[in-house]
Amino acid sequence: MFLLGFAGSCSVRFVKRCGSMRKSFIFVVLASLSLGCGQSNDLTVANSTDISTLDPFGMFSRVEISFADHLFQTLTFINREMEVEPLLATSWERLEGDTTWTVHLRDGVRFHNGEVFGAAAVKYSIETIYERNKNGETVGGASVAIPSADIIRIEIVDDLTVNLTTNGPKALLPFYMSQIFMLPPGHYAGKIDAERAEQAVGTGPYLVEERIRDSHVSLIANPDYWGVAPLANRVVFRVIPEVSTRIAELETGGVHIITDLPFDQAALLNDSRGVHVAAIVGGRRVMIGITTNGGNAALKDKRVRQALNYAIDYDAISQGLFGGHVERMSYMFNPPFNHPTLEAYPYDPDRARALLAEAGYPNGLELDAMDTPLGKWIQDFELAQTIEAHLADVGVTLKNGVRTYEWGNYRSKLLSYDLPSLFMQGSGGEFELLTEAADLTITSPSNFYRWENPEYESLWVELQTALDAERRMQIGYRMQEIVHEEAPWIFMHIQPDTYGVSDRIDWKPRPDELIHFWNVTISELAN
Amino acid sequence: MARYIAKRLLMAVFILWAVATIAFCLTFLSGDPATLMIGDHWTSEQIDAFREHMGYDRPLLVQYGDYLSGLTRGDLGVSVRQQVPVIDLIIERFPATLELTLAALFLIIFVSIPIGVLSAVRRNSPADRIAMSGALFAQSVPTFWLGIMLILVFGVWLRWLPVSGRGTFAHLLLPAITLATFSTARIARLVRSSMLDVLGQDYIRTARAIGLPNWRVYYVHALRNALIPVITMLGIEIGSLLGGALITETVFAWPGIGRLTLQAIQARDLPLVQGVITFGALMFVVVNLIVDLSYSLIDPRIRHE
Repeated sequence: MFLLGFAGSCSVRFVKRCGSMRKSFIFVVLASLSLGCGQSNDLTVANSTDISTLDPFGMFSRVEISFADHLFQTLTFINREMEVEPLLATSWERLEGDTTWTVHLRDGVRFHNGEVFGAAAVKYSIETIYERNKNGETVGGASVAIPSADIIRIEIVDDLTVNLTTNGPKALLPFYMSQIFMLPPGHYAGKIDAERAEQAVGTGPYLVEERIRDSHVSLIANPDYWGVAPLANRVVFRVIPEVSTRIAELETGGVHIITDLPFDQAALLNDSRGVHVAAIVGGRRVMIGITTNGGNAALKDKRVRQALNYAIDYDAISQGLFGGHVERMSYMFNPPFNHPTLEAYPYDPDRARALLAEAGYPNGLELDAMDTPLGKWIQDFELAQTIEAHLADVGVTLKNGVRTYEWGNYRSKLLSYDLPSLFMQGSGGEFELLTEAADLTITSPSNFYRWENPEYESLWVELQTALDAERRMQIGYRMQEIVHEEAPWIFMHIQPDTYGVSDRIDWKPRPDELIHFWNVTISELAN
Repeated sequence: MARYIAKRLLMAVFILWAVATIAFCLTFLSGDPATLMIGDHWTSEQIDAFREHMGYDRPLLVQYGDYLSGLTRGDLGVSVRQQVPVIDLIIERFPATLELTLAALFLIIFVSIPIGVLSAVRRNSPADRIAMSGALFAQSVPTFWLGIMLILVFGVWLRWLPVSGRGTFAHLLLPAITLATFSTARIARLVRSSMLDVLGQDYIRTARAIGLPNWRVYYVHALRNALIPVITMLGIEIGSLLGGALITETVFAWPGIGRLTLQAIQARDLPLVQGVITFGALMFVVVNLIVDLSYSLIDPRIRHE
């Protein structure tokens, strides 16, 4: 009431009084405020989402795993080339019987709280994550590794040696070990969820300095780090959900890397001074799944499925929807397992019509529908609509057109195989052959296409136990050739990841979307 | 009066119950909550274990009963993603939202009321036309666009103010202006029309006839009587602002309740979604209750019988 009355009484007088003095006042205020802006000397990344917890086993997203990698470490590490290299384990070997591995641990490593890292910590960490997984609790980035690795016994040989026994031969155990963070039992044992979520104690090169939820988390270099000291002393993970704001912060020097940069903005950002765009082919495949069994009988014939692939003018799609930044997928597995010589299906509508005619559909074919979630993958709905038009050009029509669903409902449809002839599907994100290859085996819950191929199945059986790296690679290549020929889906693309990067830092993106700062330097900007 | 308050309190409880029930039902409208919340690669065993862990395998009525009894104790559940109690997250974000709300409210009151009074007093003058055209423009401008334009001008081009985040007073300016713009325009138009109404009343003519100075006529006699609809509107504005300014907080990366809401939805963190919806309703109900009760203070003719 007082405020209202006072505001009213100010009205007429205010406009009469304010002259040149007002201008000077505004200038002084703004000049003093502007001290709060300017370039920061911290190494800062702006993401669209927050770090939701400090519990490493509660971290799901790539943003969270990137963050966790600065604080927590794993026995093995996936490098930029997506190869496994030692981290807290110095070496490992498989014992006789193929199911037990001896892992040798790094000496002289301490956790942030001073606890010594060793075999006891390995046993505790692996047992904890298996226990939490069994209890239905979130296990974050390890949710794939846990059921896949299937470690059934952890035996402490000495302080720096453990034997891990798996349920059956697991050739990729070194990869799975890169997904399980090592925790100090002295700190974490007996802690409840809420306590684990508030404190991070690992062996990593950084310590948490400050965490303001939904604003930022800042990390400070760990003075007692066992390895090479990180180049940047302080790194900050900021949350800026709006892309325009992220770009503005990058342009004004407030942050050094921005993630999730849309294609249309990337072109504009490249013209800005002091920043550049960094793009890399990521690891997430997007395709139009085909119900090859149990749906429309025509789709059991691989010639029809190939025809659907030839009907798509992907260059036009790339130009129209993705600014020409995306190429059609030719292979199925992520690097380094991608087939080097397979070529993407070209746009050949005549061949599509000929294949349809050969398969007994000279006058075209009517399918029931194409389902897609809305907003799950880049331009998913627009992509589905365009594909519908391209298919119609060769005589393949959709009786009920493109149907959209909220992701939760769509996910339920996928998991219950409640799918029409065609459906949008995305998968991947891993750079590990076994998990990726598993998706198309007939027993996999991710084989939404209900596709079955005897040769693929036998290769899968061999892949699970094959030790020789070259042989594994050959198996992977052959599997991709089969999928390319059999076409259980309409090949689309692998989603690229685009970043805005300050010219002040020397940083290159990784294909797995992880951002690591410990070997990044920041320089003064030359004006 | 006591009876009126009791009646209003009862109604507030009813509204909160209704909102909480709707929030609960929404959880189950968008598919199986367990599959919504889990990662892309979980096995069906993991999903089943998670469903059991979260209690989604229990009968719906049992879940509803637990949810309501938790609410009565101030227990809004635990955030699935952040693994901390929802109420703690809301309490943690509330100061940021309150700060932004108060700053915006300050701007709304000190800009809209003088403009509204001026326009009414100088009806159809160039000043009135400019003010009302400006108000119309401010009401028509989408909030997100305005926010981005302010960032572009004051953050990127002039480099006077920080682009985003919360910290210093400078960080508060752009989001507060963005948040206040629409409401300022709306309130200014309302003050103008309400003042025009009052200025035509007999008691204003009498006040002038007895020789009172203009400012006294306008601010003591006219404005006070014109404030009832303005306060009602301000109550609605404050109620919704305290529930979180989703767009403004998102554009400026302001860590308030609005961001928490969006974050909860994006992460499919259903207990958190339910919590922020219920909290938003609580803020709205409380502020409007206070507004209703304040009528009699402003206008002694109003009595709550």
